[in-house]
Amino acid sequence: MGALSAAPVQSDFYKREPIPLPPGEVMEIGSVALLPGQKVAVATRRGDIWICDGAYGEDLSKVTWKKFAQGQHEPFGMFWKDGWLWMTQRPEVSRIKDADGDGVADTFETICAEWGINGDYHEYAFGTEPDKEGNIWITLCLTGSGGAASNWRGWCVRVTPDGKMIPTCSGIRSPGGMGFNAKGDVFYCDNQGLWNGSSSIKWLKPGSFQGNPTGNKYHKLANLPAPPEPVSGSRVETERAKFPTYIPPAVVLPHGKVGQSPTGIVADTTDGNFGPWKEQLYVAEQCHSQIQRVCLEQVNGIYQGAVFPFLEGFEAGLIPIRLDPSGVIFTGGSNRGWASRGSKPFTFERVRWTGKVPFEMLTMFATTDGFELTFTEPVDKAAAADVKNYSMAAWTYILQSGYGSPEVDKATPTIASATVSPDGKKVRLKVDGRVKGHVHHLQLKNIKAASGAEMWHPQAYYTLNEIPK
Amino acid sequence: MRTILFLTTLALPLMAQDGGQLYGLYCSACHGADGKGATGGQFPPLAGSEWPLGNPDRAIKIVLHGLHQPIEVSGKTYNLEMPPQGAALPDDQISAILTYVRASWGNKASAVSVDQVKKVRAATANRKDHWTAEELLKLHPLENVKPPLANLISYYYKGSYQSMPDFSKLKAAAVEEEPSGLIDYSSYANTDGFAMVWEGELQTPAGKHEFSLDSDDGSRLFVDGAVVAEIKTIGPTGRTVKKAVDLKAGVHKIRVEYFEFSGNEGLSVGVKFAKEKRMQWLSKEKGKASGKSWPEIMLAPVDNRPAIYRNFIQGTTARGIGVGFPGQINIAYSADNLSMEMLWGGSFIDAGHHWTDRGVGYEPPAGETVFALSKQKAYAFASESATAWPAASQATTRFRGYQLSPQGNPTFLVEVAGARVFDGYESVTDPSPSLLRTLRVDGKPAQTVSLLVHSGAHEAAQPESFTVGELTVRITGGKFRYGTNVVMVDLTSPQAQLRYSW
Repeated sequence: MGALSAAPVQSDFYKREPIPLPPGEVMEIGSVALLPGQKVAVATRRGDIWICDGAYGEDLSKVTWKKFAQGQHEPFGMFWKDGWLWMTQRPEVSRIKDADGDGVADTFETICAEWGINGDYHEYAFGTEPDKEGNIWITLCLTGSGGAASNWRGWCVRVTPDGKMIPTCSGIRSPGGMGFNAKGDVFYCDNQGLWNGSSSIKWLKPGSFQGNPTGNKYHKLANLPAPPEPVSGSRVETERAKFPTYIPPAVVLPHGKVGQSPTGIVADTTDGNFGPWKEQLYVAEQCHSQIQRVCLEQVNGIYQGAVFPFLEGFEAGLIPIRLDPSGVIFTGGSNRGWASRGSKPFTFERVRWTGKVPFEMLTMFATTDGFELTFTEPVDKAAAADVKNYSMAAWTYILQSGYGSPEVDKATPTIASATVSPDGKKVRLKVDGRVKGHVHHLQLKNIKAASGAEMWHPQAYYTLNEIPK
Repeated sequence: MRTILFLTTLALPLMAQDGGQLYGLYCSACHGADGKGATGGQFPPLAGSEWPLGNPDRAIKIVLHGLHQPIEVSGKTYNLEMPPQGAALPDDQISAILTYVRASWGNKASAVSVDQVKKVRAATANRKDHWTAEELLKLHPLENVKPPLANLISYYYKGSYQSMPDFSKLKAAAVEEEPSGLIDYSSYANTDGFAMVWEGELQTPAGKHEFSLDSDDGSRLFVDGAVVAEIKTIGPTGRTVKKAVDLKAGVHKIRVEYFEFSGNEGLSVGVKFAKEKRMQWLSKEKGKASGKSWPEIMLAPVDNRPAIYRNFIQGTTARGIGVGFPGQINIAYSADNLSMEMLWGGSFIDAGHHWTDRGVGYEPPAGETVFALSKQKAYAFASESATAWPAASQATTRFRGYQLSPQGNPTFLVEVAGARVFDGYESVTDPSPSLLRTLRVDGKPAQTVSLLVHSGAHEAAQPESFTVGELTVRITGGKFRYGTNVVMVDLTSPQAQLRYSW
């Protein structure tokens, strides 16, 4: 095997494998659902649903596919429950099953079709798996991503198993995917654009406002309180101080630096089967064909945390992501309409852990006076204690009705001290000049593991919404 | 050491912006690192494109405010959306990126200064919308693109023509030079009752070139004085005539004659040069047959099972469910209005539009005979005395989906006022090709529920049948009830069957 000093590469740690698709079919995957018996269902943007057998096997050339249904309307969110395949498709939540047992769906039950659509291509609907109460959370993209021409556009709604729709959060622009953290709180990715300086993952706290006021008017349909009307040209930090329901982005994924079109979210609840990233989030990325790793914490009641570069090189833009408890990520996607670094028009892939742990920052948490880093293995203490081996830049974005934002209000916090724990697995950084509300980009250099291993991704972007008291 | 670190940090913002790096970060995902357009050219190329060259204002505006709606780049039409970058990228970065684009991949054009970007930004500060290609071309025509037809002259004649007039006997109401070099009637008229002639010159290589002509109403294309293609009668576009013509290299005379009687207008003229795949349009309008920017993906039943297509179908609501039955019988069911709203014969639907790029817009039925049946919520309490369909239905309804029979035929389920209505459709060939619709009511609604069968003009109104043009609708197990422009059925019996034939 390679020497310890060799630069780490992804294939040392994770094996990414394209899963063969049914020949001749256009499989622009928008949804993945894990079924009993190690079967995997996918829904395509064209509205076909296929079931794959063999996707867990060692020899992927043996996978077989069966077409289960056709003609659905761009499902983005699908799961299996009690013998039914549930999906959030553009016009509705539906559940389908094969009642007569011939292997093909024959029963298509509409659960909820309460939200508005008007024929605009951008009025997507993304849905989760069921929460603890059995409800599906759905984010409803704005009309053309800049208007709200149909009911509840720009809102998150919950749909109960019997089809009741509960408007839950306002302020949404253009979601790309959704998911839960390990605790069961719900997050979605919102894409850079109007009222959204950079893409980010956002916490859908019931009753919250997410920053884009375009769909605000629909609160009247359900006698809800009017959502905030932020001032264009301001900052999230300024506006949320005025409006207690305004929840800031939990983790900003700096536009262009950490992807530029985030999509599906999944929490690592594999208990170590996918590496040491217990309870962290994996966030798929369409444009850059990647998966990012996100470490969250709750400070003063607000979610925040760090994003670390993680997996890359997928063969098309990723949309859905699912993680089997045995430690297999299933993901897929398409680049139709939105380009991606992966140059294939569509893909279906799996990722498994090789069992080798990369030397990485495992977590990054805010402290009262800086940040605390933990590492996947003990660090070279001398290097890790030297403040010169760390650098930090901080910035935020303009909250504005225009599209996106440059990085503004730049600051350069300084690393005052770096204290390594006796076991070498933790470093406490005292940082002067942190800015509340800013993204803090931490870069490490010359820090190796005590074993000599080099760090795979020596950087992190931490969004400091709150400072621990 | 500390001093060095300090200086490095300070020096960074002073460094000139690296256009190539910025391009890689913000633009290459779509336009390609090689400028050829990502994903094998699914996105517009910048390499070899005229758009970023010439007057830089055009490109600056696109970067600042974005661009939407169709745009033709290097002979190919794209219909995507370029997001505006003006709020995200400062002037120096835009200048660096455009300078890079204008000097890369064989492009040769001058650098774009920060001041130029600043000037354009200030001049367009109030702009909120994306640009369209059409708008930009008016402000900043592409510099190095030759007009397709040289020395083009147009002649306009007012009058009611049902066939091509003898122009030698007419006097033109207007004669104009057309520097755009494009055949375009729209600057004269978008009205009924006119005719036009265009004369110009087309430079061609040697070879057999395929000309294409389509129009609403009639048209005629001459090359070097000889008729090449002709559409004689009044009628819609979609009657494309193609003809290959052997031509020597050089300049050839082109003459197009056109008349418009009433209703819609349309005229497209194109030529596909030998050895080239792409149609070059000589008219502003691009013919449907080969001007679509998406491939045809015609859906049809497979193994005699109906094809299902939930999508945006023109003529029904956004929650449309298309069903293409065996035997060239097709319907569009509205899950909003809870009924079949359209019925048509022939081909089912072309999914190519929705399945290419972002899938913008509603797709019309692909068949020829389309019957529009209704466009309102189809269930209501309609009292015996009612002569019009109630504008707002008092009956509570809920769409519950559909069930497919072993043959794949759908039965839609609607909950109405405490009862369940099963609304099933299948195509039959015996005794004649027809659509059979079976209505089954399960449970008893709070009061009599009526189903809207047809809204609009109808003839031969009988309790058991009526007609709409060529379409005859018959009922068994129930009776039609008629109001003003309304045909309905009271759902009082457990089962009724409707047969639609034409």
